[in-house]
Amino acid sequence: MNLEVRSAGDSASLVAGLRNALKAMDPALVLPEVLTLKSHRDQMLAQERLATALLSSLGLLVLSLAVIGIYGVISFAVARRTREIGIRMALGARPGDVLGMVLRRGLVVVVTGLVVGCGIASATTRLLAGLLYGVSPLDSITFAGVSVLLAAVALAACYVPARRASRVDPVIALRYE
Amino acid sequence: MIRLQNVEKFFEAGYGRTYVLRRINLEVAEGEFVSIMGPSGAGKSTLLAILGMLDGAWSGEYQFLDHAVHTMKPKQRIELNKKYIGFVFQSYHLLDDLTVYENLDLPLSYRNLKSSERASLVCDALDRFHIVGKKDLFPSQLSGGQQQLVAVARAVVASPKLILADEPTGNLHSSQARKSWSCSRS
Repeated sequence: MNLEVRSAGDSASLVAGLRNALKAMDPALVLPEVLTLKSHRDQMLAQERLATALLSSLGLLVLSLAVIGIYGVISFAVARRTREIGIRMALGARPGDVLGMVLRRGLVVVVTGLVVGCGIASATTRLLAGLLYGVSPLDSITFAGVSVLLAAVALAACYVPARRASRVDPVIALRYE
Repeated sequence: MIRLQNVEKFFEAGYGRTYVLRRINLEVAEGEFVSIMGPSGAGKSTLLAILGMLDGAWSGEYQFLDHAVHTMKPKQRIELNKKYIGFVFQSYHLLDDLTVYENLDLPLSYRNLKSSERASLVCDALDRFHIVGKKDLFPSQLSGGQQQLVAVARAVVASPKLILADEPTGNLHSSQARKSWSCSRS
């Protein structure tokens, strides 16, 4: 049998009074377990919370992998263009021109990737709607936050090697194959 | 036009300095056509890189037109290079993902020229080098001789005062070499 008791005071101080009241009704009745509503709710939700924590950790891991992957791929692509950068500088490009060119091209790739990624995400997050609580499948803050993070990483991945390449001696860059 | 005095370039090696160029004195007047010959490793390409202001790590004095290049900062040298010098590289160095037209437009895109002016200069170069029919092709679709012709056209498209060519006809047969140079001198 379950009893639900509501009180205005401290729930812990209620237990002794409850036991006495039950004993007065029937001395054979015992009160084996007393739980507050909060701890009862925590017990009920423990499995869901574990699943949420696991999914969040996996999400963070995937996001970290995406960040590392994007940085690696873009910086490799820019490093491969060292010879081209050398040719452009030998033909009159200033370091600022080279930097602007690499960032512009990077931006096109980043924006394309984000548009496609957000499209696919908005179509597939509906499948997770049943698992979400307090957040909609198309939560604008989540979408914006992840987009800004990935765009920042991609631009940093363009900027660092492009800046390095734009400082390279054109003679050395021209020998680069 | 060009005056070099005691130009030297060396690398620090563990046991001392290894000179690539030593005590180079040279004078070239405007309109002169000068060939520099020497065995492989003699420093011909290094000297051209210094003359073309691509290399700034050397000592000595270099006077180009009215400019004391040896006193200039890298940015000023880039501006001078852009304004007065055209370079033909040993291995063409055309950009593979640009068409012939775009390759010729490349040096002009770094100068303060209107797009109509640039188009006119590129068309003029295409015409002069008889490569109008190739303007939409990519370098990989051209023969070695045609690529070198485009490289020479790119060097002269902005009408530079000085054209530096590093073994420009090394990969061409004699008739292609003659054609390439007659076009560039016309």
